[in-house]
Amino acid sequence: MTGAVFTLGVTEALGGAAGTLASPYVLAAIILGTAVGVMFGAIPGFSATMTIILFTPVTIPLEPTLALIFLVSAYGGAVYGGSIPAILINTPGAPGSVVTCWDGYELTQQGRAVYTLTVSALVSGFAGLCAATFLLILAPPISEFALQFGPPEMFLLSVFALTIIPAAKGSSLSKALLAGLFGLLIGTIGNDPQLSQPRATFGQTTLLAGVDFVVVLIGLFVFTEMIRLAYTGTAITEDKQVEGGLSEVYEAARTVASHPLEFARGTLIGTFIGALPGAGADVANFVAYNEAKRWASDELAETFGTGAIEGVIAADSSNNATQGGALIPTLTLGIPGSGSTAALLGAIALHGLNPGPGLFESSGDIVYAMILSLFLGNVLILVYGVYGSRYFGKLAYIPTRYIIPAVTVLAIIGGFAVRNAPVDLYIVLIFGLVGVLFVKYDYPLVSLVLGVILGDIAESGFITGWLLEGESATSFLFSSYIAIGLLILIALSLIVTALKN
Amino acid sequence: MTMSRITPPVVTIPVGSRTIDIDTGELLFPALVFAFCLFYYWDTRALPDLSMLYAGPLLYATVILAIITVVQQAVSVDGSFDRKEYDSEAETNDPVFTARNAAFLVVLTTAYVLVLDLVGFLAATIVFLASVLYLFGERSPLAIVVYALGFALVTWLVFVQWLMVPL
Repeated sequence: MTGAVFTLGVTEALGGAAGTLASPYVLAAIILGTAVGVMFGAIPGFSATMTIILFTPVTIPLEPTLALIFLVSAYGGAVYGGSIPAILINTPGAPGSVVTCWDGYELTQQGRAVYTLTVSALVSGFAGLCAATFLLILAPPISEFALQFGPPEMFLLSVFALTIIPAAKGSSLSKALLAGLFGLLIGTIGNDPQLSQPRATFGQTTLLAGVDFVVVLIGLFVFTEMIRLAYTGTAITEDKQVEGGLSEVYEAARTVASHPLEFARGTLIGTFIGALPGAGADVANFVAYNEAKRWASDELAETFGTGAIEGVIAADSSNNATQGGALIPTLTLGIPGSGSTAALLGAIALHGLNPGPGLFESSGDIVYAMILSLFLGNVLILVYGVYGSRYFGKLAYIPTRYIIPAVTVLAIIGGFAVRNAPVDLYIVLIFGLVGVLFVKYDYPLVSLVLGVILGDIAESGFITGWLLEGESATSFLFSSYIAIGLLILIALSLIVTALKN
Repeated sequence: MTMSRITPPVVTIPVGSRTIDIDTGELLFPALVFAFCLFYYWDTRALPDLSMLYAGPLLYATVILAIITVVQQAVSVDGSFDRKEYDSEAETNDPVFTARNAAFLVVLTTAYVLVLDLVGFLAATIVFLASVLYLFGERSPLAIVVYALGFALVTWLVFVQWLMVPL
């Protein structure tokens, strides 16, 4: 019975969302958002995460549906855009496209730039479409299931999200957990939820309401990146002439059609890794490339890195599939699957929606419109990519010296705009520097951000659950089958990481 | 090549017949966490138990994990230290993109944040953009002026005038 009611609800919501999508403003938001995303993604130093963070303040006056669709389109565009300079000039536009360089640039050297760019656009667009389908099918039942999560389950879910990061990213267990716990502790700054006593607020009135995670995100993902860019610069090689006719495009289409297995494997890996908390395109492209190499015949495996189109297919199908995957936990549980979805979570909250279990019930129309917009956005990636990638590629030549000052100013404005508080600017600066330590000593940035994001959920889940379960550890931990399941998942992720370490 | 990289040293301490190596760089983040925990403890020591029901155990767990991280990552006995190489980025001889200039960026940004309130958004932003652009190698006065004025004006119009961010 509930199932039938639920299905009816979904159909109605989908119908409404499809209507929303027909509005010319929404269509314009998708067309513009995807183009903006591809452009910024193509500029080295601009990741999808940064694109979302920097454009969120501009969307404040827009209505929530329009704003979120614009940002989600920019997100998809930016993940794809990162591959263009990777193929053309051996410089990934974003961390999710590092692996695309390995074979993509080799192919460009061999005069196959148009062919490679077209393959990249085709697999990116189709992988995005497949992942969006997974999202559409899986998200509603997961969100329905998540409504059964009580306070202890929400606390355990937060713990699980932090323990799975080192397993997914392959980083040191102690470093990742330390970063996560530090984030949780930062999350407790401000009035406590029970008695409203101030904790570690440094005497700042603004901090009584806590540290806003978007400010931390701007510090760690934007300011840190600018400091890193100032330190390393980007090595741009000489301008490549990109030539090639329609025959290259047709051959690219035939190549993609003749590699369905490679495409499907990359897409599944991308969707799965995207859906894990904390790991996004930056992890997925490495895993997919390694798997592609492992499954290939010895003869083919040897050509990886010297211009094997299979390498490009693996990298670009997986990185674009992470978007649909990462949105699954973000929209259903309020736990972002990657840095980019953490930024999107900030935008969702900014526009007055309440992320977490219940989002589909309270704001189903907006959420479904967002999901459906992904389908259109990925078709646009196909169009922009096949026809325009060589022009977007020119953006990669913007000298780094013009990027650093402008983005730093935008980071400061963005940090201030969150809640118009001067103290937040110092938080951006501090976390920018903390981020430098993280990058240098290989701590996962996303563990810290996720800790801060989960701070409130973990604390209220723990306290409410603890008091509700009569302050007994056993009844708290084993309050339900879901709780026991989560405990098993936590143990498994710890064991996997310990073995990997 | 050597100028542009900063790596804190490994300190070797002889203890009897053995030596203990400490990678000081690996101490930095755990030390920061530890300092924050101390402050947190000091700041919340007078609060009622209920306020610290969750934060208290979290604080102790964080301290313990900071100690574990130091032992695992920063300390090694008898020179068995395999120093991890984190700087996988290709090293360049670029005179512009150096640790020194990255540090300057941090200093200039801090100064920008400090004076933002005093001299106003437009003036502070124009000066900040111009000086950072100069720092990273732009020498054409025309390019610096056009860039700084243009970008500051656009952001001022968009954020201060249109979006009413009270910068």
